Amino acid sequence: MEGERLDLTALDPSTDGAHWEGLIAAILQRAGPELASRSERGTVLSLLGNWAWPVLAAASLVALLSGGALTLLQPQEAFGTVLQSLRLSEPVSLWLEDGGPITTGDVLTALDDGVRE
Amino acid sequence: MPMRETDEVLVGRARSGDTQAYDVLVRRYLRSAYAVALSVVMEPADAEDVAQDAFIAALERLDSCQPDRFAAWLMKIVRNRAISLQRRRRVRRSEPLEWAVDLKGPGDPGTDLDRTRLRQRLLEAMSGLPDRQREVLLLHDLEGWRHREIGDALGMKEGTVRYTLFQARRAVRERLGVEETRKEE
Repeated sequence: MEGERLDLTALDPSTDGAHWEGLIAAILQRAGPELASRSERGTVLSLLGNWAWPVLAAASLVALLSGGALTLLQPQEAFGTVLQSLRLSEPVSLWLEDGGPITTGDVLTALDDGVRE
Repeated sequence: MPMRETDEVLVGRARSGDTQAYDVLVRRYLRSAYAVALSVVMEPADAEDVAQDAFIAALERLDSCQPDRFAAWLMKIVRNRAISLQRRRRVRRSEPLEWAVDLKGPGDPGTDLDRTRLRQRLLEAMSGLPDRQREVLLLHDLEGWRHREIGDALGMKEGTVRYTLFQARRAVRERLGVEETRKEE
C-alpha cells in the first residue's frame, strides 16, 4: 500500500560524522549549566533528606507517644487541658467534652455567646 | 552486549543532572528531531538549529515530561519550534526558499557536490507536500521509525500513517520524475 522506501540518505546529516559529532558536542555544551544545576539540586535535596527524614520521624514518634500517654493516663483531664489550651468558647468546649450530637439550639447558643463576647 | 536503557530510566537520570544519560538521549533522538524539524523548515542548517534548541528546551522542561513518552513529547517541542521559526522567517522574507547548502568538512569535492545536488532535488520534490506527509516520510524513510512509533508520536492511527506515507512517496516520486523529464527535454 505504501510503496517502496525512498532513498533519503542524501538528507541524513549524520553521514558527515565529524559535523554530526560537533552538533552533539554543541548541544551537550549548551546543556552543561542546566545539567550541573540539576545535579547540584539533587545533591542538596539528598543531603537535606539524609538528616530531615530521621529528625521528622523521631519528632512524629515523640508526638505520638506523648499524645498516647496523655490520653491513656488521664483521658478526660488531658482532653480538657487540650481544649482549654485551644481557648475555644465555652459552649464549643462543652460539646466536645460531651461528645454527643450537636443540636440547632447548641449552635444558636454558641453564636449568641460569640456575639456577646 | 550492553543492555539498551529505556527512555524512562534515562529521563529519570537526566532529571538528576546525569550528563551521560542526557548524552544517550541526544544521540538516540537527534536524527529524529532533525527529520521533524526539516519536514517543517525545509532547510538543513535551520533544522539542525531547531533540533539543537529543542533539546535544550526539553532539558529545561524535563520535569513536565512523562518519561515513557519522551520521544513523542520531544518531537512536539521540535515541531512547535520549527513552526515558530518558519513563521518568523516568513515575516522576515517573502522570496522563495533558497536551497543553497554549504559544503562542510573535508571530503571528495565531486561526491559532496553530487550529494548536495541530490539533497537539493529531494528537498525541492518534498517542498510541495503538506507538513504532515513530509514528517511521516522523513521519520520513516530517513529515520527508520516504525508506523506504530510514528503514529504514537504524531497522534495518528497506524493505518493513517501508512496511507500518508504512500501519498508522500508517490508525490515525491512524481515530482522527481517530472524533473527528470524536464531535464531530458
